[in-house]
Amino acid sequence: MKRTAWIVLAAMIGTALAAGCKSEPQPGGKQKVRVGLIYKATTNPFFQAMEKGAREKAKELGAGIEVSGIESESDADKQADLVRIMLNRQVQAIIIAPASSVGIVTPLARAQEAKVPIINIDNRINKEEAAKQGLKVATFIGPDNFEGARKVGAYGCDLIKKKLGEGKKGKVIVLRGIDGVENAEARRRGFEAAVQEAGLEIAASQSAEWDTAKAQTAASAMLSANPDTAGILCANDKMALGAIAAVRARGDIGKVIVVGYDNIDLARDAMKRGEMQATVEQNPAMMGSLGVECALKALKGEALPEVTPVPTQLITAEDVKAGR
Amino acid sequence: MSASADSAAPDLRSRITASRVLVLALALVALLLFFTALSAVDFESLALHDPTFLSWNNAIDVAGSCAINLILAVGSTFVIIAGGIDLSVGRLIALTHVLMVVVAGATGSLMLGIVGCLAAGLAAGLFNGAVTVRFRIPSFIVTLGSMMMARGLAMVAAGGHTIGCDFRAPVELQRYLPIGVSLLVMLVGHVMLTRSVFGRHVFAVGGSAETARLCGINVGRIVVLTFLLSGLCTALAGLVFWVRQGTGDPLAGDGLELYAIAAVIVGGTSLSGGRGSILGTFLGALIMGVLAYGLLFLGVPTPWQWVIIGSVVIATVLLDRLKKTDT
Repeated sequence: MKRTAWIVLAAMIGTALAAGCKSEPQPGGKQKVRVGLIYKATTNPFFQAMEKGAREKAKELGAGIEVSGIESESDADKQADLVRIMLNRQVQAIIIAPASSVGIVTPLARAQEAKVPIINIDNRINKEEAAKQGLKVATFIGPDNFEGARKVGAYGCDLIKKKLGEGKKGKVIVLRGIDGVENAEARRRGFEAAVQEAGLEIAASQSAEWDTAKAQTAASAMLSANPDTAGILCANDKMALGAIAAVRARGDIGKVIVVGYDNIDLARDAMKRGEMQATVEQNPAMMGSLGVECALKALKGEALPEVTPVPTQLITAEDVKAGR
Repeated sequence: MSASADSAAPDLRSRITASRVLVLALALVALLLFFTALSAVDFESLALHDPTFLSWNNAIDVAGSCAINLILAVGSTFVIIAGGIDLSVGRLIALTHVLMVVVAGATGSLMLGIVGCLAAGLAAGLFNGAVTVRFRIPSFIVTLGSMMMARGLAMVAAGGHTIGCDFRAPVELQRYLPIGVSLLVMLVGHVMLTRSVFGRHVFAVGGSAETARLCGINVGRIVVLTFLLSGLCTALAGLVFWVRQGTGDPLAGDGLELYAIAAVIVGGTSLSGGRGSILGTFLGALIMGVLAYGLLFLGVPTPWQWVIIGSVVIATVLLDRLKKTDT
């Protein structure tokens, strides 16, 4: 029995080696152009909309598209595997929304080596790290997170000021995304700018890593510590849903202003019910479709701008109720 | 202890292992063939092309993606055979490699960073082992606690976010070093478990701690040593993580302890201790790794990946059980 096992093992290793030594499959010249889209957080409707936009655009332009995503935003190692897999599947361009703006640079360096253009969408790759490793990105397609957060933050602060009346310094709390990630930092800065401009005060601020359950815990704790909180600014809608749950548990719905970011369906439902007051639409579908467009342009050798902006739009509860 | 009893024990072990190894090896070959075949199909047009799964680059990437889990699983094999469990290994990857990046950044020396990484892993292993033995707390509880502590400490060490690193492994090293380290760890582990007195003592302690004690084995020392080994493995896995990723990521390794334990179980090691092999763990880790990579490769939706991986864990154990009742 033991000998049979060893023979099988030896045969297996032999097969593996033989397979490994086989020449690289040639990318067929007759095949159509194929691009790969790698995104994060498959459970977030935002990225599902992005995927839809990208697929529709690829179909329209007659290009093939491979799509892969990681389940959790914090699974940077798995996303690195996805980059390698896309290269092994011989896509000709990579469109990527990185989970880690720093950590994705090393895995992407191999795409550059293979002369596969990189289109960066949604979350911007860290500039210093990219410069250090000599990584060149064809273009960054993304919303101005700072401006979007400032817009929705300012709207929330206005509501608070109207509610409290002039002269009162209202307290707000902030729920941040994963610290160190570029879009999370930009939104944090946007919120801070809005609060400062409105003359209000940030009583507490915590990272809930974009997650609903974590946001509920963090918001509960911060609300208990600051019972006079007038508003919660959340860096995405999933965290806003957690914040709403925390507010509801205290029986404070309507008393505390909640704003989010992303305009997901669940947040729109919450706005219809009056639990939430505003969010930001980032046009993820447009981001996905622009990604495919830019990838095809890059493959043709066309020059692309360093940044391709996607307009953000403030969506208020009134907009949602009016069906906008 | 008589000479005959001494030689009979390893024989029994290897017989169990041999049938298991055969089943696992066949399962692995079947998996590889399956993914190769499916990678030749274009699902949009149902046209056939060259199997993209079958290339040197892909083979290296598959092996590379198995490396971290294999290293963790080797450490866990020792712990589990000795009757314990180590839940902290996943999060310790984060702590060890973040410390390495921090130390290397502060001192400007990669060597010191690596020393820091290894020291952190050993210290964590010592902590797990010492608390388990000294206070007689089940290792499940101790390592559950240290897993949470490691998570927090990694975040503190990194200053709350992913940090860049001034040092970078050359591209070739990024691809081949993880594979080399994992194979080396596997070989050393195999020799230690099957050829050393320590290895025999690990089996004895896991089989029956009381009998082992009566035979004059220092049970506490053996248990602490298995956790030290596991801690060292997490440091090596952390090192490999840094080589592959190039940064210090405080959220790294989330849930990897479960993958490591799954690899050990699939490999035929008994969760109740006293029985198991590194060879089985090696194949178990490869099956888990190839499966996870292959499903990603084919673009299977994530929820289904979990369902499939979970059922394979149960199926391999079941297969072994059925085989045993046959003979």
